[in-house]
Order: sequence, then structure tokens, then C-alpha cells
Amino acid sequence: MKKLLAGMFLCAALAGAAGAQAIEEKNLAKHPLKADQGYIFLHAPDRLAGTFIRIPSDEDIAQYNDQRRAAFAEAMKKYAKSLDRWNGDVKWAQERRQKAPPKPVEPTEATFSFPSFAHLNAVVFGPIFAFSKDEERGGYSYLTAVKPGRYVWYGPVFVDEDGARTGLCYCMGSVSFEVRSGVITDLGDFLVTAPRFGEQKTAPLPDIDSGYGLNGIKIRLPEQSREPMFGVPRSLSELPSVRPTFAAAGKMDNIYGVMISRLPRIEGVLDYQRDEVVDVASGNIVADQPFGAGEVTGG
Amino acid sequence: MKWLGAGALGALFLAAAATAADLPDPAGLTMPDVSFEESAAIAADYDKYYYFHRSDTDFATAYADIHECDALASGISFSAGNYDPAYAAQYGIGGVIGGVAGAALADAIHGSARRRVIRRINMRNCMSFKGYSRYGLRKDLWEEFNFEEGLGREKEDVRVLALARQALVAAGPAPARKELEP
Repeated sequence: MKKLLAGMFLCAALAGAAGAQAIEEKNLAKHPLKADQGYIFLHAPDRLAGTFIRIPSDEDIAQYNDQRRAAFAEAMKKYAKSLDRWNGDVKWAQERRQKAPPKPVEPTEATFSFPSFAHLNAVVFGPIFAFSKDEERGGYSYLTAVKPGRYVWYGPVFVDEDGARTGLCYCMGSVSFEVRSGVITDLGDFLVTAPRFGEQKTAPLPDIDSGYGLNGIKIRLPEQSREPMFGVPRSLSELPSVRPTFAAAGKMDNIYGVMISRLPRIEGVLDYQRDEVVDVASGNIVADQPFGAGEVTGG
Repeated sequence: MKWLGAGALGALFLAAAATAADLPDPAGLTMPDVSFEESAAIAADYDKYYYFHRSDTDFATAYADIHECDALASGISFSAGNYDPAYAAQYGIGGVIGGVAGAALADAIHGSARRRVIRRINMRNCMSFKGYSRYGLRKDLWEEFNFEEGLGREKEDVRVLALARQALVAAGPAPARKELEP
């Protein structure tokens, strides 16, 4: 049963990352850079895993709402069939003076279940399928093909060996960056070096074990900051790459029910006033980050 | 931009933020007893049994903060208040894909104890970021106005009452004992 459940969830998780693809250096020849595709490159001193979530465009929202409406219509059809069947069951039970089965629950806009935009557009990488083990700098690099757009660093949240989401969500503050078509967006090791990890106190966190490998691969959370390093490996140096400008991103839902924290402050980018997220560049408080769920109207 | 009709998987935790209409009347609440004689055995369990407090904070603010942290700590599948357990139970996991399924399957895989640990970590982190301090409490006193959630979810009226009494303490008199790490 456990494996069945894990398999179901793994399928859902992979579906959520539809369009995203981990690229390994050894397979680079099979994955030439495409002009209509975005690429996220990052580096870490150890194996890393995590999730990026794309912020929906107006077009995304319209498309998502169409899909959701269609799914709701389908759910209503199923409900109608269930209701017919239930009416028959009630009649049958009454004739035999037996207890009638419970009436089907009608789905509504409020209770109808459909994956959020975030679930459908989460991009998961690591800890396996690294682009390369970096012999020059040490550590591991990851290259992921993604749909162009603006992405939020959701945190070291990933699909473990059992198919469950696990890890730490930066649900109470993080950063976002733009991914453009046809170039490699070079995050370098910014995400694990630039935040002031040493300054932020949190509750003690248990090991984040992916379960992969002979002894499991533990995701080591950064503890200290240092000057970030950028640059892509030689095998990618012929391709165009760009360092993104990072911006503060507001609070996000804990959509996977994992551990929560926030990305520590980053010089010139991210800061906090208590739990309010501050965009350092503008000095503004950043609004909570919705990812597009349910019907959206203008206004 | 206005977000409407958010389903069980998609509702923002903001939608779960306490509103004036939801705010329990503090006059009808009993202030929990947090006085006790400390011992090494009691202190050894402070990672589980504790309460929050912040100076110069009123009840409504404390309740909104605790409510938001509770929603974040529990995960979206529980936070919106419009997750319908009857619907999920009837149509099964196949009819409830995405976050609810993810949470349910993660629970099935990782178990209730793991989820209780995650909830504690999340409440501690969230309330700490909001500037609240944490103070240890004896287990039986803690049980009077707190709940633990593993695989299941506590009844809504029980949750609301417990969160409201936690807010009463959080906004109440300054604790005389030593503040703990987040």
C-alpha cells in the first residue's frame, strides 16, 4: 500500500513539474539549448535538492482557469452519476428495511479539489541527476530546463525516495528571479551562500534525508554565508548565460505540509521587519506571494 | 486582484487569516494557568511543551498571528477551512489530487509522529519570526489549551478555542521565567 501511495504521489509530483527537465552533463549532446526554453543553473558545495515555483502570467491564469472549470464540470458529471446510483441504493435498502448508504457529497467551487497553479508549475531538482560533480570548485551543479518566466525559490523541498515531498519551505520569505528563453540563468551558489544563515535563529531542524542512494543522501542546509560565486562549467561556456537580478518574494503557502522557515536576509535584496518581507532595493514591504489558485477576477 | 473560489488545494493561507468576524471574544475565555514549579524532568520536555508571549501585543493581534502560523504549520490542505473531509473520504484519494493528496500521502508515508514534529518546528519558527518569545510549560498545563495534530485534524471548535486561549497567554502578563531559544 505504501509503495502504491508513493507511486501515485510521485506521478502527481512529476506531473507537477511537467515541462521541467534535469539535464546531466553526460547527456548534454541530447539536449541542445532551445530558443524557446529557459534554463536554471545552480551550484552547491554538496548535493542539493529544491523547488522553484513559477509566478503565473495572465495567460497562465486564463489557461489554468479553463482547465479548472473543465475539471469541475467533469466532477459534477461524476457526482450526478453517483447520485443516481445512490437513489437506487436507497430504494433497494428501503425495500429491505436496511440502513441507507450516505448521500454523495456534492462538489462545490469551495470544496472541489484541483491542483493549484503552484502544484502544477513547481520545478523540482536534485539531489540526484546532477548536471555534474564539479572537479574545479568541488560540489555539485544542477541544470534544469524550465518554461521561461519569473520563479520563486521555494526552498530545499523535493520528492524523496518514497515519492513524498519533504524538506524545508522558505514560506515566510524568499527571493524571485527571471528566467529568459534561450539562455542559461546562472544562479551560481547564490541561494546557499548569499543569505545570512548564521544570523537567523530557528528551531532545531532534523536531518533532511532524501532516502536516495545506499546510505541515503542528506540535504545539508547552509549555516554560514560567504561571497557568492557564479559561472557555468566549461561544457556550458559556449552557450549564453546570464546572472539574474534577485528580488525579495513574499510569504507563500506551505502547499506540501513540510517544515517552514524563511530565507535569511540578503545584503541589498531581502530583509525583514519582524515577519514582514522587505524588498531592500525599493524599501517596500512585499505582499504575500499568491501562485494562482481558483478563479481569478480582475480588480 | 481578487482571488475567488479557491478550492481545498489552492486557497491561500491568507484566506485563513483571522478576520474580525472570526475573532473569539476574549471576555468569554479563561486565562490558562501557566504557573508551576520547574524541575529538570519538566524542562527536558520544553521542546514539546511551551507557550508564546510578546510584550505590547493585544489579543486580536496575537490571535491573528497564531492563526496564521497555525495555517502555515499545518500546510495548505488544512489551512483554508474549506477542505471538506467528507468529500475526500467519499471520493477517495484519486479524486483529490495535488496538495491534499500530497499531504495525505506524505502522512501515510512518514507517519503521525513525524507530522507532529513538523508542526512543532513550524509553530516555533513562525512565531519566532513574528517576534514572540517561547517559554517552557509543564505537560498537563500545556494540554489544557493546546493540541497536537498528526495524521488527523482536531475538531474546529476545539482548535479555535485552543488557539484563542494561546493568544490570551501570548498577549497576557509577561512571563517571570527564562525565555527559551526559538
